[in-house]
Amino acid sequence: MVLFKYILKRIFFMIPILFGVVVIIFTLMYVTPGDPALAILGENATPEAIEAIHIKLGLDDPYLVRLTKYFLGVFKGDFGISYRTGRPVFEEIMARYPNTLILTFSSVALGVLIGVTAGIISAVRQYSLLDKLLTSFSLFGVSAPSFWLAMVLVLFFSVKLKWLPATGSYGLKYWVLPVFTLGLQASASIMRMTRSSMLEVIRQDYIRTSKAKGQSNFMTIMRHGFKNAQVPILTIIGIRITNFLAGAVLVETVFSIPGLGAFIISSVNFKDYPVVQGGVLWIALNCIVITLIVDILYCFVDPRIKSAFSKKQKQSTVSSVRQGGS
Amino acid sequence: MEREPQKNTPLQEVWKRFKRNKLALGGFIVLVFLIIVAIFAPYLAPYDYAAQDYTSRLIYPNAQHWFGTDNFGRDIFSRVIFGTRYTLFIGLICTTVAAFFGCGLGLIAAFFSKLDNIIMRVMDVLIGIPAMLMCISIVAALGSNMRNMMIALSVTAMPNFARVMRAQVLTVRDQEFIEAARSIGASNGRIMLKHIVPNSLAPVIVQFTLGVVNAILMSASLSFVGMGVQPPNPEWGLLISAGRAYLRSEWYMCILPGLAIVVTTFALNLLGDGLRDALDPRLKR
Amino acid sequence: MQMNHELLKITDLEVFYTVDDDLVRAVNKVSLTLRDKETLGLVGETGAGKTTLALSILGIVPNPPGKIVAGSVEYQGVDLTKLSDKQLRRYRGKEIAMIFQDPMTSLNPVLTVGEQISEVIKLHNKISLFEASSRAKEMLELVGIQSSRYGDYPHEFSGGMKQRVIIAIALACNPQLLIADEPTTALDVTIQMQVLDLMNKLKTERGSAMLLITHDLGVVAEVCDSVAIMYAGEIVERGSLRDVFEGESHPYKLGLFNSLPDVDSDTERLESIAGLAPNPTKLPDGCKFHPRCKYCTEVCMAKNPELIERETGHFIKCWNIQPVKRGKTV
Repeated sequence: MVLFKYILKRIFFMIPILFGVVVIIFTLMYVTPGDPALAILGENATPEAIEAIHIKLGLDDPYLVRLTKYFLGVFKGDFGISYRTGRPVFEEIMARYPNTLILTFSSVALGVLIGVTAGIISAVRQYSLLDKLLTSFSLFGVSAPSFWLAMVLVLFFSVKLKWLPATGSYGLKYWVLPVFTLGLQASASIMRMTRSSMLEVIRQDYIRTSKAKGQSNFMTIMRHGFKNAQVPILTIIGIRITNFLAGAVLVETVFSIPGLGAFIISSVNFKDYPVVQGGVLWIALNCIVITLIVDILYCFVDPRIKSAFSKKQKQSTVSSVRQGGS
Repeated sequence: MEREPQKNTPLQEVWKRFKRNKLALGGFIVLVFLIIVAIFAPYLAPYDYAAQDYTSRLIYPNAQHWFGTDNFGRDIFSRVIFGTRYTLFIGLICTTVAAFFGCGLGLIAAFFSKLDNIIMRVMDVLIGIPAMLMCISIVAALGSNMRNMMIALSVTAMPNFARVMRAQVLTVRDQEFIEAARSIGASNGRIMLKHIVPNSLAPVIVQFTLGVVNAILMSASLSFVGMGVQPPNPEWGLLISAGRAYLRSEWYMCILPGLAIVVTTFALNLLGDGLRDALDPRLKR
Repeated sequence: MQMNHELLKITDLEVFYTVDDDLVRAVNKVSLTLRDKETLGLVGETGAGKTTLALSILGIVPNPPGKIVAGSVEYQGVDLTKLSDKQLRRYRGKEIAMIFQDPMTSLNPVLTVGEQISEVIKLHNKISLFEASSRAKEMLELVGIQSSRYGDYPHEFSGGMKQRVIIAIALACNPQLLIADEPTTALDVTIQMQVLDLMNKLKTERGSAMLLITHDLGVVAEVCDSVAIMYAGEIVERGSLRDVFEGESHPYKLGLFNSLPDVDSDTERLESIAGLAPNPTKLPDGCKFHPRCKYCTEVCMAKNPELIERETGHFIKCWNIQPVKRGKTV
């Protein structure tokens, strides 16, 4: 019950943010120069045709009217019509979004697998050669631009070794390099966060208590150490997912994957603004949902967070918590 | 034999701790080196970065052209050297602007609780839109050039500074030495300037180095997809995108400028880590 | 007779820490003996090496900086310093249990208190989880906490109750030796007595021996059979409670006793021991206490004294042992 209220509360707080996001994105596109009618009809359109388009799309309506119309449209799932293809923006988005999703989630999964393991090992064996190697590697991973890293890997695995194909997205083999590229990047930042979180946790007194009980090193690290280190790690996983949803565009470009990011960029070049608007908004909405999910997961990972929330709700029962006396 | 209490100012203590970290020191030296390269680029570059020479197209790195030449016959090494200017300029300016406005907003939000909610909600919205997309949107709206890209980068970096500053000010403000200062009659303004701000700087400084790294990577990325610095300027991201078509054969065209980016951000990250450890020694050992 | 059986025998133990190129001599050639059911009070200032000594018995001195360099720790005849970590684990929590100083940070925040007690039970007994949890509930009741709180998290308890949980964990497997490192220092004064009484009661009921580390002489007087006083990593005086409290004195011990305020006497100024505790990386030559000692002589500055046995079992490490002084008894 408490959990349910917590979730509702978080959702409630998200709503103004969603609102703000729509407003900002819409306004940005609104102030973009250029007449959409020309974009649709081409340079040689007649004034009458232009006028007709203006009326049809409501391009002469005042700002607030257009904003409200857009809002209501988004609510219903109507993100407008693409200037370039004439098809609903939502359709165009959905044709490409799954690719971006696959790329994002598989690379983050890979990143978590490698990053968390490496981070824990690194923290436990602090100052060892392994730790230094892993740390430098992760530092490299967060310093390198993803598109460059992608090219290095293409050069190596595709050109020199001819093991894997460089472009295309049909079949599992084609996904290996892109996922691996982003996966390496993700594992770098996840590893750094895991390591620093674990280092802080290892110094805590309850680790000493666990050892004094006769617990094995492994279980001490996992059950007492890692379990306490999870909150920052969860945070960075959430951040990485949102980063990748947006930033996958770079890797999509290098590997010619027909994902949403690359589509947005090409739409900018074609001045197909409803698509840009819709695409950016769609990804932003997804990111907000991800953040919400991470917020909720905190409760499961750290009981203190859940308690802090419920304490605010149940002021009257605080006294009963204390009633055990000393 | 009694212990003599150490008499160092906090700043000296931080510098001492920082110096011990050889890697961070290395990062700092690299940064200084890059700044020198940027400033003295015209004297250091062997060729004019814009000079096209059709007789020397697509030459592999050799003694005359350390980084080889591109498809227009331009010397890549010179272009990378001049690119340093773009990188550092964009990185430092955008982050400074973002820090200035962001910290200002954070400070106001922390002090005036009536404005706190509004300011932080706006920051939340800005953070809610992923930075890459936000930059793309802003550049799409204003036009693809370096100035607009810098505006976009500053805007997207601002909320993090606001958050960090606000969080730190709120923590510091509740500490007892502020209460003590107030109890001996210090005015609000004096407290803010002399006590709160100096003690709030540490995480801001760390955020600054992170911000510069981010700005550099983002500007390279945006230029790479054509939404930032425009060709034929020798920005590193642009050099990489120009070399993309030649990846299979003249790989040095994209790999080497990318290496320049990695070296820069790597050094900055080391610097940032070192600063963070020096400013908050709890985390180190 | 049971009382003569030596449970724990520490001989010439040396434990050093290496910090930033400095060598910290935390424990310097310490020898101690503890018999069955005996309660030994280990007294000293912060930084005297008491906690390090306790940790080295269990073999959990944090290893990157710290190391047992020499000496032996014999428990029931077995030298623990020669055992591997895996072998030592069989003693930890089962034969020898430890209660740490700060209850606020000694419990894992993300596990329930019940889980943390069952953990130690299950580690040393081949029983089901269910059986372990019911035993854990019994332990909770034993330390005065309702067993229904098995599923509560540490942050839902007050400091005193947290310490009780820790006591429950320590006693869950019926250890022969209980090491308590300043168990009441972090608690409110009103709670201290309660917790101490509980510990004493349980210890006596179960027949365990206890090594009680504290800086509070009052506590020592209440609970201990014998006392050892530690300074700068060395034992400077040791003996039965009576001998140490009423017999001859090491000047440091004398200083400790003299600095206690006495309600009955008419003093205007409290006595204190001059100077500061020595820097553990730069210990003085000769007797470690000599810079602060009122009775310091030439030989004190040159040579570190040995532990001299004055009466049976009463050892003092000093060139100028102070005679029995009337007036200050606690």
